[in-house]
Order: sequence, then structure tokens, then C-alpha cells
Amino acid sequence: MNAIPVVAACGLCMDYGAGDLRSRVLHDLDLRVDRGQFVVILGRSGSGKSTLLHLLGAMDRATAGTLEVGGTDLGALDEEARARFRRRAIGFVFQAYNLLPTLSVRENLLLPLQLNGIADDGRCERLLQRLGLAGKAARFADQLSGGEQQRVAIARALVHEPLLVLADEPTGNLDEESARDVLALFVELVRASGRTLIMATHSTDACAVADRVLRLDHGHLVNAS
Amino acid sequence: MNTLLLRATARHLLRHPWQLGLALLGIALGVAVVCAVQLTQASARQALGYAQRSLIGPSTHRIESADGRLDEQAYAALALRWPRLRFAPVVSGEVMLPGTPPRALQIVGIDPLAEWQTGDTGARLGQIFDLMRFLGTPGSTLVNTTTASQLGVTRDDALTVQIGARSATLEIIGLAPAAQAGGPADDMLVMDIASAQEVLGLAGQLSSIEVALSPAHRSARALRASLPTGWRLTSNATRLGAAREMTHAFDVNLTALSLLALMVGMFLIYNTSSFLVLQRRPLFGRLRALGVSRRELFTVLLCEALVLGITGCAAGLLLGRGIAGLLLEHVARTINDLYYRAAITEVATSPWLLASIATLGLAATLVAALPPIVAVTRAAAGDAGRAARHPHYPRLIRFALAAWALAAVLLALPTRALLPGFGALFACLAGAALLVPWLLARGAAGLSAGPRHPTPSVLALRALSVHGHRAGLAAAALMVACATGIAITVMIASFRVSVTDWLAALLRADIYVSLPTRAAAGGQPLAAVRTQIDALPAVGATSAVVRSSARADQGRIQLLAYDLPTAARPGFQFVAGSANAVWTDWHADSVMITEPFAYHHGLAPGDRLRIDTRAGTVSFRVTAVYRDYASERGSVAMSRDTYLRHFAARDDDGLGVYAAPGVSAAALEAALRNAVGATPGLRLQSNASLRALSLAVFDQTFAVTDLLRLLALGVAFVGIVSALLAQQMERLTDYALMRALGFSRVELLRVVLLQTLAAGSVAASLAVPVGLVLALLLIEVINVRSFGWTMSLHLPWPAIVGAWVSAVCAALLAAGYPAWRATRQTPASVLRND
Repeated sequence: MNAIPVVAACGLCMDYGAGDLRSRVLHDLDLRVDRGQFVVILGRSGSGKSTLLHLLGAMDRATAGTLEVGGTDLGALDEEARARFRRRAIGFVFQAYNLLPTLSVRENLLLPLQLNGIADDGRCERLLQRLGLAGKAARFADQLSGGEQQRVAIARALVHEPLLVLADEPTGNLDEESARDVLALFVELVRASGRTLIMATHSTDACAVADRVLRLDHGHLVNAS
Repeated sequence: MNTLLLRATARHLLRHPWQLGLALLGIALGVAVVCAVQLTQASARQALGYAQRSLIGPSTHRIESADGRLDEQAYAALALRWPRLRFAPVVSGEVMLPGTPPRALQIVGIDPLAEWQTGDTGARLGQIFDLMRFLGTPGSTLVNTTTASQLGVTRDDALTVQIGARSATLEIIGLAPAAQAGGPADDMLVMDIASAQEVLGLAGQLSSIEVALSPAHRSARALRASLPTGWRLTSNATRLGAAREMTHAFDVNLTALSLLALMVGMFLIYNTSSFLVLQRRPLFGRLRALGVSRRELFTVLLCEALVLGITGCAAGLLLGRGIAGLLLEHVARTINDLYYRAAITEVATSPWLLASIATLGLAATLVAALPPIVAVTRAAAGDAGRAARHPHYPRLIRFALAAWALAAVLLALPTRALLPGFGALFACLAGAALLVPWLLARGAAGLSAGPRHPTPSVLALRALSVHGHRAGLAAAALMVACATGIAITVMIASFRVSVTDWLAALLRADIYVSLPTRAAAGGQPLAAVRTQIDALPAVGATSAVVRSSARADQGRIQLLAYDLPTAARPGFQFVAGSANAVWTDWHADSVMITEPFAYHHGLAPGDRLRIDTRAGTVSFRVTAVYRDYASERGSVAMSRDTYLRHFAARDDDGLGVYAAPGVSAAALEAALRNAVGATPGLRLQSNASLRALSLAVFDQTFAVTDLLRLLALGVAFVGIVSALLAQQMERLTDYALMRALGFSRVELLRVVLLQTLAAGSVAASLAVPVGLVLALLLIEVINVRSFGWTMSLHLPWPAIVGAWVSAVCAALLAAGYPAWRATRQTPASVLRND
């Protein structure tokens, strides 16, 4: 194991609502993920998988506990710092693709680079080539199929070489065959680049190739048997 | 700035041109109305400046007399006494150009030789014209190029004008530069002074004397002291300021109305801005998830609002310039009828004025656009993509109560200033507007409460109670426009009834006689006509009035000297003091003052009014305050006997003729026409026609107000269409789902129209009490502080009900296109893209 884990969460809790409507989604969650690991998180709908990924991606604040990503204490960051951390260190792949509809495929990939002040050294083209989208760089999201959109989302998540890649049911909206293809490509790219990947999914194919499989059960994280 | 970020947000606008168009339209309309009013007012001020500007060199002061006539011999003596001062005599008078409608022109006679060597008259009048012909040929005249163009005349053309019953033919011998280029004012005929005296029948008389006093001279006081009795010396700056002061209240009211239209426009801007921002919440959520910070997002959206604001303001200025042209005619007529004579024919376009209006429009845009921008950028990254939260109703209620509290505080201030009054008006309106979304949601919730079958009605009302915030905005805008319309309608109706009652009480004579154009050469004085009238058997009594002016401690005042028969006395409605006190001391050194005069100068019965007379300052006792709507500056009335004791005798300005017992008004008029009808320039008017004419002037005065009210309603209508379209866009998925579940197009249409009907009804219903409260404020506060007038409240229920019906119909009309769109979508296309 590396000395500094990519993710170190201790006693993480997350509540929603207020007063009588308050409910706890994550209960004293501990998690350690080392560099280069591929971790799958299983769980029923509503178990808190997306909540956990949002916390790891600095898109939300935990109610209690500590969370360090890449050695950075996310709880100590203000909103501005969290945004800058997100753009630099996180690559997020959503279930619903969430491409920017008013930007072309190529522009969707350029945006993370521009946000980080990184010049495009041809990596966009290489990624699109690798994902089989070389001829579609000028198209917009509504001109692509679901599988193609998800591949663009994957490319966008990887183009700026983030510390941590988070994927929230990346194949949930795809058919079985597309899902298999996309997943295989995704994992291959992440492994090849040595990135750390945490994926929330129901896919047994993902479980089969993951380094660790964890299960979220009523807000608690356990090793999946 | 990140260009991709700009591109990502801006392309959405370009892909939805109608949303962009509505946003621009809201800004443009609000700015256009303010621009139109400000340009019109600037045009009036500019025209006044041109009219007051001297044609003769660097004049600084003007010598005039109370009756408008200076003896030429006295002028000659004055010039001899002050050989070092530069004097320039002027003769002026009004003539009519026959036509449909007839046009009033101003003859100004000058002596160019008196100033030719030292003044810049040549530059003002144009270098190229025949001076010998100007001096030597009677009737030679100059006009500026603008007037010549409007009259369709040019050099060497003839122009026939009417002076009373006479006519005169003038010859245009040259064209002077336009007023804006330093030439004479519009509608001005410049003649040699002798020629003007002949045409106007003012031989041996002057209208005024221009004089140039250098600051180092310090001779104004000495010159003033040496003037003959009844002559006065006033500086040009003082005269201009006094004229501008006359229209101050009129200007303020017009400005307030235009700001109201801007306020309604701001609703429109807020609604479209919030929709543009909130519709892109998913986009902003994704950007925030990618690491775009709040500040970066805020900057992009603020820049977007700035660009929209600048574009909308530019369009608004262009549109406003066009509307100003429409307003100008109405405003010009009102000013000329009520305040001062000035040819207001061109829209003044000052770069500074346009820049200040654009700045105001931009500020209004940013103020209206900021709340939704702040709301979406303050959301956490995880929340940024979620649906918009509903308005916080308790907070809106607190703001509403705070606005009303502010209104109460402003009204309680011990001041007569208009600004707090208008502040209270706007605060009252804003408070009511803030409550509309809550009232709509509560009303809809109440009507659809409890377990019910999901009929279209129930679905429509439930949707309103839960998701009706956008409809609430539209309803608020409609309420503001409708309440304002009701307030103005009630105010005008109350005013009109009060004026009608006042005229009915005051105008007790059967026939009124006057000589409109004083320069009727060879005509008899009106006093002589009265003597003839008194001798007629058909005449029971006559009254007479002399209109004059004098200087008092309060400044220049208007004096009315009445010679009244007993039958005329009940015509005066006293609001303070008693009739007995007035008539008992009528022939003593006492005066009665009009309501505006009492208000503006803080006078009441028992107070004393010091007026400069020919024998020095005399203290007159105020016996009563009476109602009078003829002049917002107010007047001071005294008996003819009192007037003649203290002031120089003048010819009567008007007569009232009362029929003898048993003689009809028609018979009286026939007898008068027979006896004095041939008198040159004499005008006979029946009681009924004079009342009708007075009410016509009244109606004309409020034509501008009506026009602005319609513009504000137009802005509100656009706002409602925009809000309803936005609402349909937000609810498209719900409607598609309803269609997928089996709702027919007609049933869906019923849902949409029912929601609109509910929103329109709430808005219209709230507008009635709010409008009545505003009307009370207008009557009891604004009108009193503006003009000093009080009036009784009159509720024109047919008009109020009509406003309610119009508001509901406007809402339904506005829903037409959005409803049609909602029912045209196929469920599959909407649900697939969701």
C-alpha cells in the first residue's frame, strides 16, 4: 500500500432534511482507497451510493466525520476551494451522461483542460480515437447515441488526468452489449493511466474486474461477500 | 474569462430565440416608456428656452409691465437717461394662421439697427436677407427654416394671418437658421418693429425692452429704481426658472407614470431572467460538478445580463424616441393650454439624457436579473442541477408587511414634498405585488384541498398551488398594471366630477363675453361693450373680471378683480372661512384666495397678504379660501372697487351676462349678437359651450396620462405572455404525462386555461382594493402636494368592473399561444427527451 491513500474517510456521516424529517443516509463510514485501485460499491437503490460519490467528489459536505482525498481535507475547504479541487483532482462520470448540450464533443473535452489551464497537446484527439469517436468531434450531444454520449463523458472525466475518477452507475442507461463495451473501455483506460477509480454499479462484470467490492447497506460500508 | 464557459451558457440563448427576444423586449419596453417621457419633457424645456431666448444680442434682462404694454415715449426717455446701456425694444403679439386646425404664430418686432453694430443679431437671423427690404417694406418677415418647412413656404412667399377680426398679408423675405442652430424659435415671425406695431395695432407701444447689463455694471438696482411705475426689470434666468417651475408638478407626475411602466418592465425582466437562468440549472449543475466555481459562474451570468441589458436599452432608446414623437403632440397641447406658450414641435435628443436613461435601464435590468443569478450560483454543486425551489412565502409576506410599513412611515412624514408621496405609492404597490404568489397558491390549494377525483379542474389548481410560482409572477405583474389603471381611472373620474361640479356652481351666467386678442385695433374696450349690454332689456345683470398680476411677499401672483352681482356669489365654494365674512368685507382691503394658493403659501383665513400696489405695499386680510381648478399656482381675488383703489385701471378681461327673469338663454344670446355681435374680435359663449370647452381641456390634459397607462398595460401583457410561456416550458413533461395517461387535448387545454383564469382572477380581484387604495393616495396626497387641489372621491364602478374583466380577458388571451403549444406536443417526443 502507498503511504498516502487517495481516499481516507473516517466516521463519515451524511444526513438529509431537517427537524422531524431528518434522515441519516451514511452512518460512521470508514473507507481507504489506495492509488491505482479499482473499487466497486454495490447497494440497493437509495442505499447512499450516489451520496458517497458526491462526498468523495467534493460536491457535497459531510454532516460529520473526516474525509481526505489525495491528502486534502475536504471538510476544511470553502466553496471556492472545493470547486478548484474538483476541477483539478476529480473526474466524474454520471449515469445520465450529463454532457454540456451547448458544447460539441471536442469542446466538452476541452472544458476541463481550459479550467485547469492545460493546453491541448493532442490528448483530446487521442482519447476520442481510443473511444471510437474520432469522426464525431464536431457533433453535439443530441446527435449521439447513449453509448456514444457515455464514452464522451468518460473521455471528459479522464482528459485532465485527475487524481480520482468517480463513476455513478456509468452503464445504468445502456443496453447490455453497449454497457459491456463501455465498461471494458473505461476500465482499460483507467488501468492504463494508473488512475484510481471508484464506481457505484450493479454490474457483475465490473465486480469481476474490480480490485475490491464493497457494499453499502443501510448507510454502512461492508466488504461484499 | 473562460471562453468555453461563455459559449456553453450563451449558445442556449441563441438556440431559444423567443426567450431571448422576450428578455430583450421586457428591457426595451420599460426603457422606451421612460425614454419617451424624459425626451418629451426635455423637448418642452428646450422649446421654452428657445421661446424665452432673446433675438437681440447678449441680452441679460427684460423690462416689462403688468399689462404687457410699455409706452414708446417713456422708453425713449429711459434710453436717454441711460446712454451707456444697450436697450433693444420689442413688440410681440399672437396671430392666427387660418386653417384646419388654425395655428397660432408669434409676431416679434425688433429694431435691428439699434443692435446691428454691437449685437450678433445677424448671426441669429441669417446673414443673407435684404435689410433695406426688412426695414422699408411693411409686412416683411423672417421665419426659421423649421417653421418654413412645416408651413410649406419659402422665401418671397406670402403669408396671410388673422389678428382678431382683421387679416394681414406678410411677405417672407428670408429664412433664419433653425432654433437649434441659434435662430428664432419655431412659429415665430420676425419683423421690423414698426411693421409689427402696424400689423398688431400697437402704434406707440412696446411689449418689452431687452437690456444687456454686464456683471461689472451693477446697474440693475439703479435701473429698476428709475423705471416708470408699473414697469419691472427681471433677469432672463429668473424668467426661465419661473416658467420651468410652472410645469414642475406636471413633470413629476409624468415621470412617476413612466417609472411605473419601468417597474412593470422590471417584473418582465425578472421573470424572463429567472426563467433563462432556472431553465439552465442542469447545465450549471454540470459545470459546477466539473469544477466551475460560484464566482466564475456568477461572472458569466452577470456578463450575460449586461449584454442583454445593453442590447435591450439600445432598442428601448430607439423605441422611446418613436413614442416620444407620439407623446409630444399631447404634452405640447397640455403645456400650451395650461402653462406657457412655446412651440414644442421637435423631439430634443441630448446624448447626456440618453446616456442617463440607458444607465437607468441597465441598472433596472441588473437589479431584476440579480436575484435568480444569485440563487442559482449560491446553490451547492450537488444541488445546482436540481429543480428550483419554490418561493419562500413567509419571507415574501414579511417583505410585503415591511413595504407597507415603509409606506405608512413615508405618509406620516411632516412634509409636502412629492417624493415621499410617490415613495409611499410604490411601496404600497410593491407590498401588494409580493403577496400575489402566496394568495394564488393558497387560494388554489384551498379550492383543490381534500380527496377528490383528479378532474382537470383539480389538477389545474393543485399544480398552481405547488408549482405556481411562475404563474404567481405573471399574476403579480398583471395586478400591478391593473391596480395602477384602476387608481388612475378613479383619480381622473373623481377629478372630473369635482371639476364638473365646480364649473356647474361657478358658471352661473347664461352667456360669457370676451375679447381673446387684445391687439384688436379700433376695437372697443370690453368695458364699453358691457355698458351697451347692460342697457338691453333681456339682460338682468352682468359680472366682470379683470385678470392682472402683481408682486407680493410670495413672489409674482395672479390677481382677479371681480365685479359681481348677487346672483354670482353662490358660485364660490368655500373650503375655509365663511361666505358671510367674504361678502361683508368684500369692498374693504380684503381678499379671498384659491385652494392651491393657500396650500402653496401656507395661508388661511385671518392671515394677511402683503401686495405691492402703485402706492406701495398694502396688507390685505385673507377672508376665505375657495375651490378653484383653473390654475395650479392659485390666484387672489378681490372686488373691483378694492382693485381700483390700489392698482391702475385696466379693461375687463371677461363678462358674464345673466338673463332677465323670463328670458331664455337663447333669446339672450340672440339679443347680444344683435346688439354687440359686430364688435371686432368679440366672442360670445353660452354657459354650456364654455363648460364643454373647459372639460375638453381637462380631458386633453389627461390624454397623456391615459397613453402612459396603456403603455404600462402593454408592458404587463407582454410580461404575462412571457411568464405563461415559461410556465408551459417548465410543465411540458407533466402535460406530456397527462396526455400519455389519456387526457385529451381539450382536457389539457382546459387545465392550462383554468390555471390562467385562476391567476388572472386573483390578480384582477386583488387589483380592485389595491387600486382604490392607490387612488386615495393619488387624491389625498399626490394631487394635493402637486397642485394644492382637493377633490371628492368618486367611484366609477362600470369602469372598475370593466378593468377587472379586461384583466381576466388579457390573461386568457395571453395564455392562448402557450396553451396551444402545450397541446400540440406529442407525449412521446417530450418524454423521450426528458
